[in-house]
Amino acid sequence: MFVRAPRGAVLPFARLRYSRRCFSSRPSDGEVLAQLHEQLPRLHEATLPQFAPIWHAMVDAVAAQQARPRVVLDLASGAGEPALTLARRFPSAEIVVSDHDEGMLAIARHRIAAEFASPPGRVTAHQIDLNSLSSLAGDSGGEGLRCDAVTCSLGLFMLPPAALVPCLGGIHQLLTPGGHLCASVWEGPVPLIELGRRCLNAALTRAAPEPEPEP
Amino acid sequence: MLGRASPPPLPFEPASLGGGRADAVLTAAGFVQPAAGHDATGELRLSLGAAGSDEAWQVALLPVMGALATLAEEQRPHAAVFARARDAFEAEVARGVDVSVDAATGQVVLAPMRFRLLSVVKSN
Repeated sequence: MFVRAPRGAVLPFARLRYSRRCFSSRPSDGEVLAQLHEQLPRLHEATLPQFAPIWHAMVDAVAAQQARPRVVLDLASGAGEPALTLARRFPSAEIVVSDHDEGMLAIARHRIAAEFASPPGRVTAHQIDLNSLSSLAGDSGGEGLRCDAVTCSLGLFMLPPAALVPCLGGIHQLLTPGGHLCASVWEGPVPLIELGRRCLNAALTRAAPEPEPEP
Repeated sequence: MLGRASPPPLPFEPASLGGGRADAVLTAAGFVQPAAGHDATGELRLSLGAAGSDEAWQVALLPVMGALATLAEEQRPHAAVFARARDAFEAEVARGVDVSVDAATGQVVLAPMRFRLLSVVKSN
């Protein structure tokens, strides 16, 4: 969940790309970024399973509504959840994993290749933006995608308020009649986000920058 | 000197759709029929990693890592944006409100978080 967000807000891999020499006793920002770039898949691997209670609640809700969905689209999947949990629960369903961030999709594709290589094409990953679902449904011509269920775990809240109804309207268009939308949202305070905000503030306002190194 | 007076705002409110506030937008989008599990809530407990480890602060700050990276790119090379963020994280752990060390395991753990399901169907 928490590894995806609108562009520039949360962990865009493209930002974790540059490295600089370290001249001080503490690692430079460039060194930390380079380290993070290497560590991200492992950090996700260590963290993702802890979100399983949310995915299982969502998959249970989908199963209670539809015994055998044919096509399920998971939006803002990040590293591939709850899509891959859905793929295990519904072994005959076509599962579409999606996210706007190619870096996250790369992790999802790696997981798909490891577990869902056969039959090929049953579980696939695609770059899909929450703001362009109507065109995915065929608004701009063409046949368009149709789904029996759409899921989105901890993704909808990242949309600006004005984009929310159009996004949900796009999901409505994507669903077949009787189709099911199941999403998870945060309820009440979210310590993970609040903690991040405070640390971000502190990164600006705390100690003065370290001195320039001696040449 | 740092180049910004305030951090880049996070462009979302995490709990904006909690507490039943999503129902109005779901209805506006055409979803008028609740389905199994609608409004069910649950609790999530996250362990971030061993106290003092790189993993703990890196996992904790994943939600704002993009913003930190933006700041780091805007600052001088030695602004130590990440080092200060880590210091702030360790101070938060010591404060022990939203994040603390589990004495039994030595793991840094977050205060429990709650989630809600939105479950609706498209009318036939």
